[in-house]
Amino acid sequence: MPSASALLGRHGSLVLLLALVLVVPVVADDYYLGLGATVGVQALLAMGLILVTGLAGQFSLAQAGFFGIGAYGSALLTVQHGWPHLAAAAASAAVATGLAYALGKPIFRLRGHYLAMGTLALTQILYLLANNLSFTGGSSGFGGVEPFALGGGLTFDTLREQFWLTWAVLLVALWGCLRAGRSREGRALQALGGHEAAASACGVNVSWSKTRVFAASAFIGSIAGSLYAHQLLYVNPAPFDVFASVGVLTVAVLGGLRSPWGAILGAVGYEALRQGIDKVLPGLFGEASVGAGQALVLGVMLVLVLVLRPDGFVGLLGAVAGSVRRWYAARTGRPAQDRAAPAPGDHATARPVPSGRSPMAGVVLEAEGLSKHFGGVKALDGVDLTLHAGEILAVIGPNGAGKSTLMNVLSGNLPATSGNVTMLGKALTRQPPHRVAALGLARTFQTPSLFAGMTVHENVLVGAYRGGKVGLIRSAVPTLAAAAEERRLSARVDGILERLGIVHLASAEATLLSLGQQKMVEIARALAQEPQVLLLDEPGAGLNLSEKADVAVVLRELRASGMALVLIEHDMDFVMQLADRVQVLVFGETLLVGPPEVVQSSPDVVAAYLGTAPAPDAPVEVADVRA
Amino acid sequence: MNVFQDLATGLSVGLVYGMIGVGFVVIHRITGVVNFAQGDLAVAGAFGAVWAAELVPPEVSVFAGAAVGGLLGAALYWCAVHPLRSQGLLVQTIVTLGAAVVIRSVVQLLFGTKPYAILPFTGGDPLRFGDVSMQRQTVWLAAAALVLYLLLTWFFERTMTGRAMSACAVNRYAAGVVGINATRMAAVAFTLSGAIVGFVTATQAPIAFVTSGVGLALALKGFIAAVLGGFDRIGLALAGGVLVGFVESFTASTISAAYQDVIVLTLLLVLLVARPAGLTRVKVSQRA
Repeated sequence: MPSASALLGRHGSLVLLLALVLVVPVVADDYYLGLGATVGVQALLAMGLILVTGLAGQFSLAQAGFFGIGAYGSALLTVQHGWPHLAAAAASAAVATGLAYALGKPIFRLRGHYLAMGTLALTQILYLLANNLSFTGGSSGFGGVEPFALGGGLTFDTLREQFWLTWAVLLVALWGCLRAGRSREGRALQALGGHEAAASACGVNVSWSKTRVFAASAFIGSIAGSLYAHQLLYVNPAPFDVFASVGVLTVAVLGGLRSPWGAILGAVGYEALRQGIDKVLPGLFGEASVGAGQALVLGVMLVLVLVLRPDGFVGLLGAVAGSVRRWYAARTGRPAQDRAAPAPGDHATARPVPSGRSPMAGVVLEAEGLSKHFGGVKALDGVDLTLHAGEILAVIGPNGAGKSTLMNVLSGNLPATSGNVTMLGKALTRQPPHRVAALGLARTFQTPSLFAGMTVHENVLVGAYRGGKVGLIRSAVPTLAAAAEERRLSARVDGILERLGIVHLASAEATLLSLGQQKMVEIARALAQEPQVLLLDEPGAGLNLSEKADVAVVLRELRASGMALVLIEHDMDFVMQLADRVQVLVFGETLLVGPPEVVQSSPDVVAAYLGTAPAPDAPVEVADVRA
Repeated sequence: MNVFQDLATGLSVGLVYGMIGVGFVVIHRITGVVNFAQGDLAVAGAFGAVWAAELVPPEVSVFAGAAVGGLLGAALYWCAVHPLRSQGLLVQTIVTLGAAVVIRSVVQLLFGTKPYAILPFTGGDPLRFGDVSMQRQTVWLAAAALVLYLLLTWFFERTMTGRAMSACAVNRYAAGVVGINATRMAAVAFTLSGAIVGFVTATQAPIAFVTSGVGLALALKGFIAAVLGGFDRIGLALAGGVLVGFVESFTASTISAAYQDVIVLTLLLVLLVARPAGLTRVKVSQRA
């Protein structure tokens, strides 16, 4: 997205498009005006799909269904019940949006592909209903719809006016989608597509966020349907079957799923191709073949575009513009303004954190009898854990001891089989990750889990998600408060980046950084949550010595500021120099908890790591230490 | 309004749904992809049998159906899914929908929209049990489905390739570490899946006509079968398909034939919302 949106997403392209929309109707004849209005409707449908599939990564085939709800809703309410046109369009959109909520909320708790088939079924059901019910006019539909009229005699009768109306709505939708995509909620959605577990650990309510964007796509789809009904003045079921959904998908894929601009480029390209096919095919296969031949070409195109250029026209344009810029830069001798990942080793040393050491001695996090079983495997079996403010508790143990499982259960990424976790007196057992995050627990992951396609600054902003309130709609129609909130969150992120000494990486694409830098960004993202408890899953793994030293400095400062930290680590030197207490896990059970010196000298710990049989009196000794 | 007649009618179509569901499960377990072309692979296989039935007896032509389905499944994997292996499941799933449209329209260009059938394996009047009648071909179909099910179970539990595929299903990364070629296993899954749905749909062709456009509807109902099997268990998916067949024929005879699809698909939505684990006991939301 960055390169494409750098090219297209700025105001220049919007102004250009606006100029085109104003000029085209003046020069075009009726045929092209009608075509333009149709293209506008297609683009609007594809825009809804790009929101839900491109931005949030959820495969929806409901677009034709919502399109149908809008068209039939507007037609039925205005023709048979005499409603004002705007009210009918609004009511239809409300129905579509409500349906999306009702269906999306339960389905999004499940695996993603259930949505694809569920929405396919929904589209098919609506199509069959329109075909079979009597009040919809059955398979031949009904006419008598009037051209769209606002109150006060403002009507859109001519093709030129309809063109303007459709493209005005489209431009507003484009502007809103572009804004929403760069907003707090848009970033959260993009993050969900990149790394769902990490996004939810940042406090993003996964199923709710997906549901809202699905509802937004339903709203846009329904509006497109209302416009369509008032253009054709007639509705019948055929344009709303499942292949219409496939058509919308083809438009979006052709244009590029990653940007709202893809909807417009895709719709124009798709219509041009269809016109071409209609001229060429009858000559190849005969008149009768047009339907199947068209479907064939479109299907082949869908496959080919995905295989050759998964980011569509927008990606292609971005790449072309990039090489033109580089060529121009090479000619003029000025460096290209490309975002490049800084060279590894280019890290500044961490700045000291204002050390107001205030060791609150209280217990922050407490787990009792925590178990997690996978079938017959007891990854965790009755583990207790106590964590105080201002301390670093290291959790060590051989591979398979259950360390990462413990972390996932504490953070809510895995539900516990049994046992309880409380944080500052509040129960967080079996709460979903975003709730746990809301209570003040942040985490990092063992393997790098930054969000692809987003800069370091944007990644850390996702961490600050819960610090804001502005939702999808308010960011699409920006208010002063929304802008102020965005500035506040951005300032918070800048502060954290500076504090960790990675402010120079702010605009680099996060997943292209070195492993050490990624680990640091992940810590920054967790800190943006302003947590009271921070869980770190192997923050030192894969880092070189100086990077490890940087991490150690940061962790000490966080402890000094009163934060409670749980550290999973294999590097014993790293653990022993940082930890206040060490908890040793073996086969899902606690072997020992104690200060680093005690743990280091325990023969049982050595035995657990090296695999020698424990001494016969070992269980007694363990019991002693635990008590 | 005879429930037993509904059962007999629903059985034949239900077995096809069930096997398409099995096809979904085989591909999904190994690759994570939901193959939207599953129904169109089945239809293409059936048309392969229709074409072969001009030359060979019907009981041989169904093997041509399996061959066509299998070859198309392999082509689908190598031409569309494999090139997108680094793009993530969403894009791989979308591309199967594109492939579905391609297969469907090619079949339509070759055979038109007319319904086709092949002759039953054994002639003669339908079998009668009291006032319930059942086509003889249904017995063949049930036998074919049973044999396929046993073969698949044997394949996944006893053969090296099958066990390697099961290993991929449990943990693709670990399977790779022990030297299992995940790409090859995925290709086998697509081929196998195409072959079984082609075979079964061809075997059903003497009972119900096949038309070029029926693939998506078959896929949707096969998907319900797969959901009933928890997207994991082939036996339950097959049973689930038969259940869908029963519900469909029962709805058609007691409520309305025009609304049978509306009702069955609404049940899919209800199923997804209320009991996504299908007939299994595992909670879907807890699995990776």
